[in-house]
Amino acid sequence: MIHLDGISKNYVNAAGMVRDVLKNVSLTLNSGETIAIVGPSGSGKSTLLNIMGGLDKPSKGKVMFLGQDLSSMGEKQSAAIRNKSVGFVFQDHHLLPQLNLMENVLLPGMAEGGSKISGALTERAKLLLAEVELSGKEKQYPAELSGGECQRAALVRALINQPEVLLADEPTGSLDQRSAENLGNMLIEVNQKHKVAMVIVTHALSLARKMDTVYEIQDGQLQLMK
Amino acid sequence: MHYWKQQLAILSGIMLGTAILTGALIVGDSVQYSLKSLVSARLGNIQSILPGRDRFVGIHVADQLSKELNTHMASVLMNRGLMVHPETNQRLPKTQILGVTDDFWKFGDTPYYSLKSNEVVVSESVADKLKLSMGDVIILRIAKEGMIPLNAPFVSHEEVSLSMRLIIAGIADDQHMGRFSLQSNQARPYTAFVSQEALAKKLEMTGKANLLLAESSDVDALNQALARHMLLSDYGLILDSIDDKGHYMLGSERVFIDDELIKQMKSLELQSKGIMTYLVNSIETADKETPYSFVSGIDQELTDILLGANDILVNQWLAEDLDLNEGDSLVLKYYVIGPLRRLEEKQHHFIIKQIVSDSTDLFNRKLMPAFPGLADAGSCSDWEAGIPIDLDKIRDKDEDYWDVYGGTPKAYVSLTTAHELWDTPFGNYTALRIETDQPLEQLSKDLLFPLSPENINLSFIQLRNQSMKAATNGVNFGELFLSLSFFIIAAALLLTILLQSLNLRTRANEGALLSALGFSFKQVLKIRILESILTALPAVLLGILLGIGYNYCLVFALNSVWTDAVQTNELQVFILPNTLLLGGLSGVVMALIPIYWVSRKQLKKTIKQQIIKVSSSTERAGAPNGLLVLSILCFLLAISFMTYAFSKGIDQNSGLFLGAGALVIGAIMMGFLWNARKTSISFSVMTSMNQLAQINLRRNASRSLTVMVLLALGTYTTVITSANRKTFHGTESQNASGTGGYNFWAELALPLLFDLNTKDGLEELGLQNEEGVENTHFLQFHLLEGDDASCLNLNQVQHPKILGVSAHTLDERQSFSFAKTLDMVEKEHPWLALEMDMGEDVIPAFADQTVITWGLIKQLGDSLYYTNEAGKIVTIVLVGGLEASVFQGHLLIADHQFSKHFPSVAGSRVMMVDADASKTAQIGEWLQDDLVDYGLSLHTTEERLANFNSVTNTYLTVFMILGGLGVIIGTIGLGIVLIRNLLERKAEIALLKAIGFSKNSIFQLLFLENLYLLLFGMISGIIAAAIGILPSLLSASFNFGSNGFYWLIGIIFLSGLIWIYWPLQSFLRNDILTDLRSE
Repeated sequence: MIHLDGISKNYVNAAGMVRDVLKNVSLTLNSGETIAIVGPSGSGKSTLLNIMGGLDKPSKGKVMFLGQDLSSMGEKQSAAIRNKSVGFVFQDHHLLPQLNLMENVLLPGMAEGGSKISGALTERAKLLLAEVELSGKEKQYPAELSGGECQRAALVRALINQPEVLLADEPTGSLDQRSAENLGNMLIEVNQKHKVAMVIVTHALSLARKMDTVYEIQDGQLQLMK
Repeated sequence: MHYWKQQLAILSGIMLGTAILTGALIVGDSVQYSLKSLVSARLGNIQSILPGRDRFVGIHVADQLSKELNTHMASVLMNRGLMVHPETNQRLPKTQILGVTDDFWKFGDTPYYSLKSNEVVVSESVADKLKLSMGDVIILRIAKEGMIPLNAPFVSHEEVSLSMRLIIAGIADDQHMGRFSLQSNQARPYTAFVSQEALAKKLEMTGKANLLLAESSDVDALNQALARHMLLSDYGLILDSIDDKGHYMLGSERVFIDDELIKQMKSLELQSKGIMTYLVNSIETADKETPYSFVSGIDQELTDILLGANDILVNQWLAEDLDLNEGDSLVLKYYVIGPLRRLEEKQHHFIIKQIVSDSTDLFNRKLMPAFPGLADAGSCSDWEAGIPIDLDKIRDKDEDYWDVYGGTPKAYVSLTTAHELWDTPFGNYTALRIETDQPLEQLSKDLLFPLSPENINLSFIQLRNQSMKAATNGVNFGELFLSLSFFIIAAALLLTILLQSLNLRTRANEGALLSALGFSFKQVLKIRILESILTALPAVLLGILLGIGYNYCLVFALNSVWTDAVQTNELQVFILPNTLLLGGLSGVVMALIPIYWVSRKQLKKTIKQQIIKVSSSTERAGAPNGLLVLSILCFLLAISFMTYAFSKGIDQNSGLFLGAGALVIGAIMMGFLWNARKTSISFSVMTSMNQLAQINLRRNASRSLTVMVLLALGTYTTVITSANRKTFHGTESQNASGTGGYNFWAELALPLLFDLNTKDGLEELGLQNEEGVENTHFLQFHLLEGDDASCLNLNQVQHPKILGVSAHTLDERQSFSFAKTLDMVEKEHPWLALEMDMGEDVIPAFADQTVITWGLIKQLGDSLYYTNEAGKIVTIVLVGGLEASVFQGHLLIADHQFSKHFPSVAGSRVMMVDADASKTAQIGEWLQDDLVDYGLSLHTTEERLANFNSVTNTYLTVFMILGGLGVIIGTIGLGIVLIRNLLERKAEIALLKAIGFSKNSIFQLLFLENLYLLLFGMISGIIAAAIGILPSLLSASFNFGSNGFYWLIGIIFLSGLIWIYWPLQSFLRNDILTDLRSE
């Protein structure tokens, strides 16, 4: 499904100094597969995830997504792929405070500018919210929900368009232990139920162990751990 | 210095506000200085004047006063007329013609020219207008005004003007008194200076002057000296000895002796007896008639015979002519001469008390006053009596009587009866017969003793002081331009607030860190304020410099493209250090107060709020119902304003609509704020991009509100000013319009003495056969000269010109409309209020409401004070204000009041003409041709109104442009609000990108949000403006016109779009993903 081939990413600062974040990283994610990526802070985990989801472009290498070269795609095309085929979950839920729960989860449905949300999508949202035990809270606003509830809602938002892959960047990083465990279990359930491939960047080894494959990033390079 | 970009932006805002404020203040100084400079140019070294008006004093008075008081003085013979350039036939009406001596030029910088009798010096304005050069020949046509008012009975009207053919010997510029004028006005007068001696000779006024000029400002000393040096002749009095038995006759060069002088002289213990002699048309019995005879009213003391009201004494000659005996009755028929020489023949029956012999003292030709045209006539058929004389009635015996006895009266009635029948406003005596053993010289001195120049309205005034005061208190351009620049200043202030707010927002972490490190709130605030001072001070200094530049631009514009507003192109820039200081200080205060307030507000937020990027800017505190209540209240108040205005008359209450419009903006904005803060939303689930944009708009509603209010108010003001531009909409022919339904407004240099609505009047002027004249109505006015009180004069006006109007004529026609009237004025017949009796020497008056408010700086019920010809103060009370009319610049009083107080103003010099609309062109043509020698200046009433409207419209254009500029600058505020919102929503926007929104979609969403802001603001303003201009919209003839309004609205909208587009594009180009990263 996703194949990273020799991905390198570097940043140049104002003084012209180059900092290599990723060095020649190759990775393959198959349909339905789950991968965890661990590593110290600043090692490039989030950068790798963003490149996989088309949010960022590599300095070198290719990103093949469902047979298409994501790294050389135009912004509009890559946005369309992100909208339809990728779901993102971040450490901070990033729910929009001015929208209620239902509106937040339906947000990806209007990515194509001006198009109205379909009734089918609304129904799917209701089902997904029920799955993550958020039924009855559709009209509540993020400020009225707990951190765990918001993160579960973010998960529903990521799944609303039935993506092929879910990319999660420290999804449990801001949660307490119980909520984190809860969310971790939900992620597994999602994978099993919806056959969604997953790449999860995490510090939590307990979550990482639940994935099919675990990689570690050290000095910009990817090493298989499990 | 690290944040130099932000500080530079803040500096710009402060600099702009300071520049506009300072520039506006300097304009005020510049205009005032310019007006004062013009006073100096006008008057040279003249401090005081003695305006004679209709009075003439001997030129010796100036010499004597000059010697006694050791001050430079000059006498002037002041007149008016028109100038003709014979080569081009170009005419210049409204020319002041001054007979001057060499002394006059000494009031200028350098003495100029000693005029010969065939020479003239013209002012630069004349030379420019008629394209004259030295050596050119011009013809002056001069009003023939002399000692005797043309209005006086039996004054010949054969010649109302005379002409002089002169060579131009000089062109006088400002340094050489070329700008001389007694009127406080910035416009250049047209003046011709001629030899005083030559002019006096032409006018038969040798040795006389009606204007004295003095270099001294001590008017008390001047007036006292004047009283000492005036002779009987300066009072217009002539003292003659009748015989060598101590009998004298005091007469007047003005024919009639002023009542005030009589009163003063009667206070002396002299044996003086009054006489009033009148020319009657006929003395008749049942079957006989004696034509054109003089009859005297005599003081009872002049005869031993007791005369009752209907008693008459006749002389022997008359008794024989009419076969009269004592006890017989006879009829006197005589003319009473009204305004415009309307003659009404009246008669009175008398009973003959006695036939007096020719040996009595009464039988004396000196009882006939020196009527010009009569006194020196060789025969009756040579009489020029100012009334129609039927020469067929004059018999040989009448001619014989004239040859032998001259104007010796043929009959005598009581003085009381004479006063009742022949009362004139010029005086009720033609002579005083005095009996004394004093010699003539001593008697002259005795008679002079109780007299004062003030008895005949002669006194020195401090003209220079008055003129400087008028210039100082004129239109305050500083205040005017401050108000015109209100929106720019408001926009600059708003920018400063928003930029500072943005600046602090981006440095929120820094502030929080300082707090975390132990800096107190006050210390952090102090740091912020000190930073701001370091920005504000150079900003203010730069603003002052920019303000000077702005002022130069404004003065340049006023002297060129906006010259219609000021009617001059001679304004100069004048900068006072105090004004710069005031502008600078105001700039500092304007900058630091909002900066302090914003800084204080921002820094009060908690550390947590500032470090954690919580979207605390979303206002979800719950919608206070107070906002809703306020919104509804504003709306209801607006409705009630409009309802009241409709019930009381929308034209009279148009201001209420403006207030209603402003209230509607308040209602809309508070409603928006209430709605934005509601916790429940209007639709159950957001399902479209459009709805998402609307929801997003409700975030930071207060911040958005500031910009929307500015846009709304700016649009509102732009529409209002454009709609209120005064144009003509096809209603100008209506009687109720500003033209009164008249086609022409005519001003004349020389008076028309006759009523053009009569056959006789038309015949006198040779107009009787002109095409269309039979259906043409002339409305003629008496005019008392004064200051121009119209909007064309920038100086404050103390004594506007006065027109005597026929209130009944205007009432019948229902001409003109009134903006405001006092309660005492009847709404159905407002013009008749001019006929109200408000007490002795109190006169009701009307004027244009704009003149009352802006020219006179008064309101209805206020008074102006004039001195009438008898030297009494008359109070003119403003009882009504007209809607913009052709009368602008004048006070209007009833004609009978005018004649009573200013009787010597002869004829009409202002006239309105109502002609058949299909023949207007022809009528205009023959008026121009036939009245050309009267110095006719003819305009259509539309042209005249357009001229006044051009001033108002220019001010409105300036306001519209400056206001529009302010709103355009305000759209920059829109951009700043957008940038701030984007910064706060970086994570949100990054998320949208993450979930598959393309840059385009994100751009569309954000653009839509801000477009709503822009449109909401502008549409609110347009709706409010529609309410504000409802009275105009409801008028069938309303025509909005363009005048750049559409362009301005378009530019405001375009600027708004640019300030939405550009920040969005810049922002979306940057990498925003960092806000999503967990590391």
